[in-house]
Amino acid sequence: MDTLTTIDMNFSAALRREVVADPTSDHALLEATRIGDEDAFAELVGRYRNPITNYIYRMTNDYDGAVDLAQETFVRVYRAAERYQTTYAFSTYIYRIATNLAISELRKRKRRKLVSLTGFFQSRDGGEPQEFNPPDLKPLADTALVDAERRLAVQRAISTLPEKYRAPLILRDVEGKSYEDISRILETSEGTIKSRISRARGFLREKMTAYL
Amino acid sequence: MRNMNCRNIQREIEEAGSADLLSASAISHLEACVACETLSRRQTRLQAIISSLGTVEAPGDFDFRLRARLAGEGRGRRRSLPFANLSFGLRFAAVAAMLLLIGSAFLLVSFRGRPNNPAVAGGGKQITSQPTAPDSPANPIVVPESVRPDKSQVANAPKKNELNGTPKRRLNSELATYRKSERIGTRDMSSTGARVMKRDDQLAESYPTAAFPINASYQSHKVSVDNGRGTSRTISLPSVSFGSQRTLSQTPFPLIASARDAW
Repeated sequence: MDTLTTIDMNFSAALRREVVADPTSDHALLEATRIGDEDAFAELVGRYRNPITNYIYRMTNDYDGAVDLAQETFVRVYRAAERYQTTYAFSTYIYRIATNLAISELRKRKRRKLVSLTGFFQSRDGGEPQEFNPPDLKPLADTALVDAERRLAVQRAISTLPEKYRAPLILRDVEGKSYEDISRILETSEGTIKSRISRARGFLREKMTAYL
Repeated sequence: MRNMNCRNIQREIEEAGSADLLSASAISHLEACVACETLSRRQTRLQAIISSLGTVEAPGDFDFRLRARLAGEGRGRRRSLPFANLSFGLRFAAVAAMLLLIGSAFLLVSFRGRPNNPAVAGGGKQITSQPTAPDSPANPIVVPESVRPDKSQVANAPKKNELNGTPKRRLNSELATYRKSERIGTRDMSSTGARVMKRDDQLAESYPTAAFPINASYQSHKVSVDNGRGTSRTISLPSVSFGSQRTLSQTPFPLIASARDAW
């Protein structure tokens, strides 16, 4: 236990040294934001606006909503700048905020039943409602169209995944995060993350059978 | 054994996501196992499709909209109430606590505003509690009208020798009952005249048995006699006990007279 505490203290101290040493690091920019440097915050926004918007878009499959939620993510970062602690990487911190916002939005949608046609295609045995996603059996014109159709299909398939499988799959396969980073962002063990990603890939293979 | 190996390899394929990341043993297994090879191929194609999704970029006015939003939130936060950021439950609890506080304050004010002594409100009916002996002439008792017995009660009152101090006890018990049942308060009556009942006249008239309570004390009773020429004599009468200890007959001089002057 003492060893772990020592390691954690050394890690934090190393991060603080990094903040002092590298003025362009995320932590240094957030430190500057904390004391009122608007340019530093603009630099942070410039670094993360596209990845965060993309991540939320892949989670929600709604571009306008994703932009709004990305903005909300930066608002929360700005508001909580004084309470921010340099224990983990800033990217972990901002992805965690974005994940929470996206999951919250998905749950709101589920409550409001905003997904159209869901009620029409609910299974007769009273189970979970199924998305209307019929396979397109018509022959495709050329390769570009085939690729576009595949991308659309996989995006729709991802958006039908349960949120506990969707978030780790996107972070791993779309954002290219490591298992360690994903476990920190989602605050779940690495083993659970690996298991969920495997399950998510299995679901996607089943849904994408026509395209593989 | 082969199935066990396939299960492990399939788990590795699903975790790796792409055939490029498989171990050497898994790759050699794929060459011999069609099912695992098919799975690996499909997984690799799926991974390629996911990777081809590309990156969606934020709109060009993202920074501008963000700055406007931060500025708007700053103004809104300055205008908002201090508890506006609380959750619904906490806000509800705060409102309930405020209502409870206001209700308690209202009740307190209404209780204070009410005349706490109905005797005072009724016009001069007041009980003045005295710490000293209530029946001494120096400490007059103001008896409330409701407690004071009328003439018929006095007429039916037991005689002095029948019950020792019964009317006084009754008075005390009635006063105690009155104090228990009603709210007792005090009021400064120093500026207003109060009805004074003295033992010698009113009390003796209405409470004949209480004029000289038999169990008052063992002090002797002193009588001052004036001979009409300005000379007075005080006669001290010893207390009489109806027990067996002190009686007049046991005293050698029943009347102890102390002459201040020639008698």
